[in-house]
Amino acid sequence: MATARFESWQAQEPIPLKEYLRQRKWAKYYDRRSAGALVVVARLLDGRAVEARTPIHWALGDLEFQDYGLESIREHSRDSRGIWSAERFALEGMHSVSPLTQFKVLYNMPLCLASMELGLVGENSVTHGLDEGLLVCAAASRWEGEMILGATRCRADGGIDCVAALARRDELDLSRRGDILEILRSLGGADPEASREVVP
Amino acid sequence: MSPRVFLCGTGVVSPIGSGWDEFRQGVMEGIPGSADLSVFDGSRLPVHHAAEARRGGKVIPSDDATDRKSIFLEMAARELLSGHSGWRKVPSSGRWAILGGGIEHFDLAGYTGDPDPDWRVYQGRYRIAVDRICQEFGVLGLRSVNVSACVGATQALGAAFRHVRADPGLAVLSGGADSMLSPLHYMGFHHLGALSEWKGDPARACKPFDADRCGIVLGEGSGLTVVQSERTAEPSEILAEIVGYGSSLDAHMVTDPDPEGTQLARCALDALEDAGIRPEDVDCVHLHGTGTPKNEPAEANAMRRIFGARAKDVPVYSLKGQVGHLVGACGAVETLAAALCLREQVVLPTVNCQRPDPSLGLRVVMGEPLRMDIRHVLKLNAAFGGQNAALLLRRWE
Repeated sequence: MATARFESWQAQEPIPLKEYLRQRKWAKYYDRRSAGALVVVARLLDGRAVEARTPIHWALGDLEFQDYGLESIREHSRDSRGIWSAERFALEGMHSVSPLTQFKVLYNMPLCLASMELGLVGENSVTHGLDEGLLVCAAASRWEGEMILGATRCRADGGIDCVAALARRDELDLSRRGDILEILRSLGGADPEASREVVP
Repeated sequence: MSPRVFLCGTGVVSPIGSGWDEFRQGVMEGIPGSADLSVFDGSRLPVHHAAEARRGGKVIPSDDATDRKSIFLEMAARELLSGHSGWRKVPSSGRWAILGGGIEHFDLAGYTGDPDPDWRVYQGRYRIAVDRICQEFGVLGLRSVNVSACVGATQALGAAFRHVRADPGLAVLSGGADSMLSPLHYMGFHHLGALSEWKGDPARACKPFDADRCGIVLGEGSGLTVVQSERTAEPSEILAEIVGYGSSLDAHMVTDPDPEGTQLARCALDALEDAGIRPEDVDCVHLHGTGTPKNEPAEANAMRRIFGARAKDVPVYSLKGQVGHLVGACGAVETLAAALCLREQVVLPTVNCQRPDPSLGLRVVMGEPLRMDIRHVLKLNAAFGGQNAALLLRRWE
């Protein structure tokens, strides 16, 4: 029987990443998408051990690009007329953001960081779009046991919604279309209000 | 018994040519694809090598606002599907699209010059291109866009294979497209310390397996094929049989691959098990071969885990010395190259590997192409962050 967990954080609301991070020095690689993914999976598992080869598949919506230093790059890449300068970009703009930013921009970081924390080495994928694309990848698995399926929505207001589910391949209904977060929630009958935790 | 599954037809856009004939000639003749960056002004960047997509010898033009990977995806799809007989045999409801892609394009120049910008306006939408080709070529079945970085297209092909094997009535448009040749993404790879800082001829900037390898050259392009079964495939369109797939995660470090190559080897062994064959049945390996100091030792160790003492004798190859790193599309274009080598029964010399790193202990083909009987090719890819993927191709006979 599939189980699911739903978590939601508002724009300014802290995500309690460090409660679930074994290697705290890696916190610098996490943005809110990755932090939300790790926390929702950790809460789904709730200390329960899963086999290292348990597959993990994750779906992402559009990126919160505005959080990754674009404004700073823009400011440092304009000439005196206020238009793009390739020279200023090379000399100043590209150095105006931390190299760590790149880890936050990469789409596969939520999945990869979760795999490192939880020791997951099995089949995997990261899909773009909050639709059935995730199920297409997961249903291609040969794994007979439960898989971890998750999805993250970054809302325009800066809030973030995350769902994680444990489900077997034969519990996936490829004929079902719609919002993947809703599909995953319904797999385990997750009640968003019941599972949501707010940590100040 | 499982139905046989094939890669049928090709659509390709690459730094060594677009269209199958140009690409085939480019691969077989070792034509260099890397040169000075020209699709945007990179003259003041610390390094400005790039393997830009070409057609007829000329770089495919675009403006700052254009998402190049979307252009490449549409070009490749039209080459592949216009006149594809096997595709036409399958009803629209049985046509799926499982494709690899990359990070969205961002028009930094447009955004920077806008006095009151909304960043969203300047972000590309690869999904729109995917939806457009699905509409144009009658894909009414499922769609998935895999963005697992450098294994995105490899995983897409693997998933397509598994679905067609399970349901031989399907035809899946698969492969991928990517371009990171824009200021913002170039900056990102620079920040990761991944780019080759080679100061000489840009055509020699990426040197897979070489003792002097010093990083990647960003490439771009698209590689597409139709994955379909013996039930619907048109024999004249079959490029190769696909017989196995595996994927794994290193779960090691954010910044580096597992130097032991443990999980990379395991995904290859999973692909062999999926195919029901043994390591000794593999004739050659098309490795990820990025030309970075850390990738190749991990792959060499994975080779030893897969093949044991035979690892030093199995010929290996990397296309990246020629076309650079196509990131989300590398697995697609490299799989087409692997299928080409399978058809031609040849292992090609890896372009720019002139002094193989002896510590790797790999059999890198040098000088002349190695002509040999090849029945199975193993294709490996690995992604920043620790994702690995393996495909096993078999000669069509």
